Amino acid sequence: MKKRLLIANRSEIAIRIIRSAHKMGMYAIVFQSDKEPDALYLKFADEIIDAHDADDEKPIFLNPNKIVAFALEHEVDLIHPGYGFLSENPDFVALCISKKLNFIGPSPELIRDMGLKTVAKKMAIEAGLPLVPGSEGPVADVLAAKEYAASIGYPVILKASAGGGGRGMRIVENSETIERNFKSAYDEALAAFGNGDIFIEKYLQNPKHLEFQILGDKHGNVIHLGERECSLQRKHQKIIEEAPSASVTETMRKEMGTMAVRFAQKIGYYSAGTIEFIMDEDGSYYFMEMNTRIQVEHPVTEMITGVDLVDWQIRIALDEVLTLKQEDIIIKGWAIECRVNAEDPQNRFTPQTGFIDKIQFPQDASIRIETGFLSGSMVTPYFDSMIAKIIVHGESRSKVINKTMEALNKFNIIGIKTTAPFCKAVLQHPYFKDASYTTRWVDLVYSPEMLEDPDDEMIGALAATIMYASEYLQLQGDIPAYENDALNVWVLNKRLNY
Amino acid sequence: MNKNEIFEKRIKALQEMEDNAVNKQHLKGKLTARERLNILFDEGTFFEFDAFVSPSQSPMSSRQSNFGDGVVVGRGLVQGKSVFAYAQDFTVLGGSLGYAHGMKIAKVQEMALKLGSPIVGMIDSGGARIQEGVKSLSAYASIFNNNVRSSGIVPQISVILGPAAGGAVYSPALTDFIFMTKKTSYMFVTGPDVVKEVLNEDIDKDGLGGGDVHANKSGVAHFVSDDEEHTILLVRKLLSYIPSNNFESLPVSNQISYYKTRQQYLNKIIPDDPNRPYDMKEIVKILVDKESFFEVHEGYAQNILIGFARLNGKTIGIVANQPKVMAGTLDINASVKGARFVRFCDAFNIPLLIMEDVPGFLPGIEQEHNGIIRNGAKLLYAFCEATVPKITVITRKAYGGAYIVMSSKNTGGDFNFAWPSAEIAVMGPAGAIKIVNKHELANAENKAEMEKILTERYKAEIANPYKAEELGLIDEVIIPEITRDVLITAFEILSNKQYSKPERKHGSIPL
Amino acid sequence: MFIALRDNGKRYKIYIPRESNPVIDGNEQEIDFIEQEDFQYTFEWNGKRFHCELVARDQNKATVHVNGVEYKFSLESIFSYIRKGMISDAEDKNTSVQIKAPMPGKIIDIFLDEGDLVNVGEPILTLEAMKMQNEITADCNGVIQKIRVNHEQSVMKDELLVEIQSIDV
Repeated sequence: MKKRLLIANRSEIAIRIIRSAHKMGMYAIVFQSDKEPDALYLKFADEIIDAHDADDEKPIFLNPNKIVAFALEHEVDLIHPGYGFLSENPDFVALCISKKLNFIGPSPELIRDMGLKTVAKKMAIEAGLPLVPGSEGPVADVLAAKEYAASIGYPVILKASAGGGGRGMRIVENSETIERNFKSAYDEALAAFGNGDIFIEKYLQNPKHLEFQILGDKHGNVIHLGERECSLQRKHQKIIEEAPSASVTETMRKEMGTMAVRFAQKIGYYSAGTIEFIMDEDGSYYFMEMNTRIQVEHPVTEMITGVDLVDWQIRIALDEVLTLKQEDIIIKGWAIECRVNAEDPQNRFTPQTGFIDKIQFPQDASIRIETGFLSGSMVTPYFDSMIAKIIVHGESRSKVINKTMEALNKFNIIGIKTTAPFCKAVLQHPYFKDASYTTRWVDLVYSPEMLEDPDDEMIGALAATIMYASEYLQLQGDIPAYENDALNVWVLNKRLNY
Repeated sequence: MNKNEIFEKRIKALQEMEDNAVNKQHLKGKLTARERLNILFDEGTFFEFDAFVSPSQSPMSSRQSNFGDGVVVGRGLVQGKSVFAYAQDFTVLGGSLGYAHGMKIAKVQEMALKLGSPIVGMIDSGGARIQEGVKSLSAYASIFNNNVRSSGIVPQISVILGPAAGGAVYSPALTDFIFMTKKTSYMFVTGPDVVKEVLNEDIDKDGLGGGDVHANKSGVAHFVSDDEEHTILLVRKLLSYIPSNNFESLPVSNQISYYKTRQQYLNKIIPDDPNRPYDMKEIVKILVDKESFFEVHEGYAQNILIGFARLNGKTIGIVANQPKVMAGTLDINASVKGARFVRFCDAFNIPLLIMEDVPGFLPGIEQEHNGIIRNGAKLLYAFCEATVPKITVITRKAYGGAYIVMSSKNTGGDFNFAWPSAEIAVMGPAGAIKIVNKHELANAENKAEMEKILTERYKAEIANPYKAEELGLIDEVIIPEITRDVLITAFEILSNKQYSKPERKHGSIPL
Repeated sequence: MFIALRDNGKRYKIYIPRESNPVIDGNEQEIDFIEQEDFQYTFEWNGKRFHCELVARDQNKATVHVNGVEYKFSLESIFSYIRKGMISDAEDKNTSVQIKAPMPGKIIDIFLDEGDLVNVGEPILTLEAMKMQNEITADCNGVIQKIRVNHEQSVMKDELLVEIQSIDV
């Protein structure tokens, strides 16, 4: 009996998961949301469930009860949540399990624990992972804060214990300003969360974002598949990712990879997961958090290791043993992923919506395209802005950068502005080329003028002129573009005296 | 002096005047009268007459440099079409209108009427010539009279390329279309100096009556452009859409192309949420031939769109609500803008396409006190009066009085279509359920839930277009992507429409 | 011949002859027109492909996307370009710039005609003096209003050679 796998997600990741489901001989079932009735991913599925979510507050993908109800109704065996939406919602996972639906991912407890920063950090300490130097709990008062800050060194960041979202958060550059900042952080946290407790951490001004991919089965076997560097972000949204990282030496990889595996084993993690590290300018690295889902940028890891992570997620969910050993994971070559989002990089990345007249992707053995859109698709404001991922593999980092530039040059989309030109500008920038770029690159270095190219500008002027000239000359010309049966003698004597 | 010498001397004098004009006008970024006419007409087709008419009053009449009395008149071809024109010459006596000058203009107007040709007037004048007193005013009167006698028989176009003040603005005001340039033309009845003196209001010429003011605020100008050359080319563009007179067949373009793949986009363009706006112009641009939509009055009363376009090469007039601006409601300005255009199209046998998405008339004290009743009625009158083929397509909302006004079936609409997303009713669901289902709402446990149910029921039973289709008030509910084909067929069916007008001098349109 | 003026001030002089390559800023460019569909043009130049989309046009103002990046242009004929300049600085009365001979000599080469657009620093004519060839260049951006000398003409020092209608603000 073929197993039935329901994908509670959309766009490119749904298509990606369908691919794995089919490889494993399963039926792929998806939802059709009223907000995206003509989406591309529907064409790849074996069965489509009409979600009837037109009048719902949230689209189907954020509605746990409805998802589970439909799943039971359609006799689904497994559910894959993709990324985002409910993929890290422990209540949803618990609901699935309680209804005997096989959720592809870790347990609700693991998800809940890793979702709480405090728990995650505690586990990290116990597993012997380095953490960003910081006070373990809230500091007693301003004086304690000042003392502590002096001990770990400025700049420091003050954070509210009771909540996030930037409230109760202050970056302090030096000891002169810490008193004032502490007071205002305290007051703000008190007002926002009812609790003014503040803890202190060392502030990394110019960090790199590294993450290690791990895979674990339900029998305690865990391996890591190397790192990804995702430092090219804008407002904490990743735009370009690469694997491996040029800032991680073989030794570091062993060290950090071992730590990642140790951490996963300590908490009893299974399925795919990512352990995030933050790296300071001096090369020292610290544990940040763990993501308990498959990630958007998983393809770069797949390209350099040859391992299909989604396939393994499914197998692990079916209780299979992880037959891959650490020594089987060999990193070959380099991979870069560029996210093509419907955002205007010339205008503060404003999200774009509308009709895609034409979209053309480059085609090559070393290029992998993941997309949820075709020529004629509509980009709606209801979901995230990602249109496609362009992933390129090559022998070395410099070769991959060139290949990716070529791929982006061949990529063409008409009707919507995207981040593709932005990716090109990044790839050509010296800080990317020498791999010294950090998470602050967009804030500190980027300006929209970088996207302009004098050759492009000239061709643009030519195109505009051709367009204008043809109408201008047509209007100026003596030969009319129309026919007119004048029929004269003052139009046949006013059509024979009307 | 023998005959040849006189002839040569005169030609030389004209040449000198032209050189002098070139120098003066170019420095200000303007063109001379003859240069303007040469841009307007096809090369080498301008035939001037009355070039040597002299001012009717001495001492000006005795000076050679005043030949023509400040206006150049003649006839030429515009893409093969015979057109009469006059262009005032600011460099001769300030372009002021004296008796001879005025009579020259009246002469071309009469010729245009006699021959069934359009007439283009280029205004660049200081106004009436004070020295000639009442005589110059009487010349104006002849011109205005001719404007009215020709109105609706030949198209009359005014291009304001300089000052037009006082009485001089009335000729353009009586013509069908007014073109202006942004920084170098002005129209006002009383100039800033007098305004300052009498009312102590401080404003400059451009602010009082410049191109932008008339294009966007007062609606006096239909087209405005940066530069004279562009403005005059726009006149050529306009002439390519309209017939030369009210009996001539419409021009048919031989370059027909349209956006084939974009027709599907029409299926997706109407947002699900009825309160979300969309751009009606996009829909219009997709339905008509490629790049053929020529918008009129672009900056004024933007809640209604009007303009010329071609469908399968044939000219049509478009009147469309614009949901992007003020939710597409009809107000005083929009009603007047629409009414004037509908009547022009009716006068010159241009069929009308009405794209409808109107939630109603704009409410409010300002509207009521300024006579939305009177002015809204103008649009209604214009549609009812028009005997050209009228086709309406309702894309979304069509409520109440506004639905009736926008060329509904019983006002004489020949074909009325609706998209499946249309909602045709006396009023929108939100307001309707409060009245009709007052009791159910009052007794409901969960008001929000009940509202939702009632709204759904209203949409399904009362407001849906299929209901109207059953009643025959909508001829057919069509899928958006086939709209273009349906319209082409529908206009073709109506191409022979005949009408008979009742015996009367003319109706009494509310003014 | 048109002038495409970008909103950042950059301007291109473009001439599109019917049968041969376009001439941009005086240089003929081998630009091939690969594809045209609705308002999407694809060009090839120097081995590179450029995808252009004409996003919007309002009379003579156009917005173009080239390879996904937006550029805005306004398009003028030479005369409307000059008139634009004249209208914007209507206060300046006489913006005619006179170029005079720096030394006595003979005019041996004249590169431009009356009515030509000229950029500051562009050579207009060659003056041979004391066995040396001197390029006389434009002092401003504008249009050649009048060329007061002829080929092979001998001129004195400070003699008026060229008058340029300046469009500089």
